[in-house]
Amino acid sequence: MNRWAAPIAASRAGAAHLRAGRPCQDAVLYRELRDTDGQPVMLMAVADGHGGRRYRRSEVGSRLACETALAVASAALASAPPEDGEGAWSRWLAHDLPEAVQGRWLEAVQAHWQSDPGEGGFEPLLYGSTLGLVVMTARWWGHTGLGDWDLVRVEADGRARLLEEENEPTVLGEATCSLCQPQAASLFARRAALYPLALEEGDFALVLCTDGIRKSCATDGDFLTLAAWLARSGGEGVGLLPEALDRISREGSGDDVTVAIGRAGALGEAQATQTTALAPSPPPAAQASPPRRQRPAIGRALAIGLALAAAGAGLLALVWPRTQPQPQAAPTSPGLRAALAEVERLCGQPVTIPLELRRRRDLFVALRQGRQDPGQLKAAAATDPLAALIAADLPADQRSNAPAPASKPAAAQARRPLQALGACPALREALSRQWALTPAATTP
Amino acid sequence: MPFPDVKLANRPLHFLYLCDCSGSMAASGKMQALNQAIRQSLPGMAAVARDNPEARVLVRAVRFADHAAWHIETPTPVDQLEWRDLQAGGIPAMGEALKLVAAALQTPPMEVRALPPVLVLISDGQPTDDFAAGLEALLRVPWAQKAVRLAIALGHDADLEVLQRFIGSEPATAGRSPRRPLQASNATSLAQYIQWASTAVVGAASMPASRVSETPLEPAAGNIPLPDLPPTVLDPTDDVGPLVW
Repeated sequence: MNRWAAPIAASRAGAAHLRAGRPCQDAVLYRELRDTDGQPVMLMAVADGHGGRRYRRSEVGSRLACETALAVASAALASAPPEDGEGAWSRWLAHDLPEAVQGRWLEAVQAHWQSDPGEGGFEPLLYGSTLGLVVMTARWWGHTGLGDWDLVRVEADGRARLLEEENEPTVLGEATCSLCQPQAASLFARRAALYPLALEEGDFALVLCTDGIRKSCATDGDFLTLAAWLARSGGEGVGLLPEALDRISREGSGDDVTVAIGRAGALGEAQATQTTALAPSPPPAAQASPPRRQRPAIGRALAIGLALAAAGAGLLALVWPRTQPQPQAAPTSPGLRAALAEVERLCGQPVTIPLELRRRRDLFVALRQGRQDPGQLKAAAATDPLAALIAADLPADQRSNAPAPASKPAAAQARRPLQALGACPALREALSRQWALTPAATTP
Repeated sequence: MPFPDVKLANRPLHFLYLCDCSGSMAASGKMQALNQAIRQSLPGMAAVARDNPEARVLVRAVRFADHAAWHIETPTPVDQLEWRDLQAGGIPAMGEALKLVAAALQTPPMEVRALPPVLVLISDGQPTDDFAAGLEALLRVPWAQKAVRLAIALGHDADLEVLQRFIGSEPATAGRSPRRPLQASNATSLAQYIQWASTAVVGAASMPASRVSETPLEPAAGNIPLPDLPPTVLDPTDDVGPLVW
């Protein structure tokens, strides 16, 4: 079964780059191929050249990064599959692929230098670039790379979740990890992950973008809303995506802006016939995908919500802002439905919970320090349900102006609001651990 | 589908002056020269801000003498800034000034997506309080680590070692000397340094190119590649006025 429509993508020079007469130093590329079973595979890559005098050929470096990544990945995916399946592909994303990509990229940039030598000697630094790669197969999808790209997963109902961002503890200011670093291949592992595709999995899209988009948004909530919109509207018409990117850069960071969007199931199917300009050859199999299935997760969440409402409507009302007056606390609001579905999703894969929470550590800090209003996040649960859950879990005594929680009795922990939403122990424990790691505001 | 209701925004660029207002600044017209240099630099700074709409340049200033205090506490858009004269008197509590700035660089109130701030320390003497404690407090703050830190020494009595510790060490690289405190010996060179910091440096910080993290284990030094100083300031044979301070 082919779940994936052809990616759509666009890359635009930033407003500040245009004004300064600098080229677009971002690059984007996608490709469709078949694996050894004849199943379609989609690849998409984005890269962000560093710019500046030290990296004056980075627009070439970013283009070669995308080309190299897709060439290396295509060759591996079209050859014999490894014996132990997904475990081996995970190792490939984290180790084998990076080694090959970095080696081939270094050869490519050196060859470019030899064909067009400039002043001074060759050094890979001249071509410095980030790289983000997403691989989408019939059985799994995964990502890898290095540098300051972001990856958002958008569900068919518009919920968006930040899956991957650069979290290097030593990256300061505008610094980022780069293919030109000697140890670049070893840096891929912490940005690599593989996700098996479950048969009953709903439709979704993956939005891979360079940092110019997120830096243009006032908040991460704005970024997720924008990513969800890009995922749903990107294929609607020729020119819409470039126009949107131009606006994002013009009204935001001024940086180059690039996005690649992979679409699974009906989310891609609905748009596949309208993307001829940006995706020249939509795969026939995408058009032959089965009709969109019911979303069992939502159904189960609704059941949970209704049961909870019947059992303790008053408690739910305290946990969640009601957007509709009647019936009281019944999960009729999109936000509450999204939150319940998010709880179920997280508890269905408890091993991933700590990582997902760690990726939102900035949000924990913002809430803990009183910089982020939990009410706003809960109100925006339909867009970012995980943020809403984190906000709902913020205990009153963990706010920045409250006493330290060190002596909080266990009974108080047990009363935390997430229980009312059906959160499993793994989720509640992971939240507690993340709160414990979250610093309070430093007093002057 | 219409463009979503999201807030797109340029990125704040915080520019902070830390001005020595000790009694020695009253001598030889240093205080007057500093006030004049900053005031005269504002139109150029505003022009750079207009030319870089992706950055929102916000200015603050700290004065330090017997105690440190905000001279301009609210981050003020440069085109709305009216510089009030600083007054000299007392002894320089530089460490206290660094602590004051450290508190202001906490998040919040600093925005997560702000550009690396620019800190300009101007002094003609030696700190009389616990400078090391102040510097330690400052450099514990991530935004201070990310900041572009510049220092201007007024006259030959300025403590260059202290100012060097403030800006940090940056080794020489190909074609560039190690970064040192700027040494102003008269009103003309002071004005040129202030002009450079408030225009060329602000311009570079407004649209920073991303760069490579030096190693995964050590933070990189120098967050924004600094633009070159004006040739008239670099070349001692140029006429930048007499040695006054």
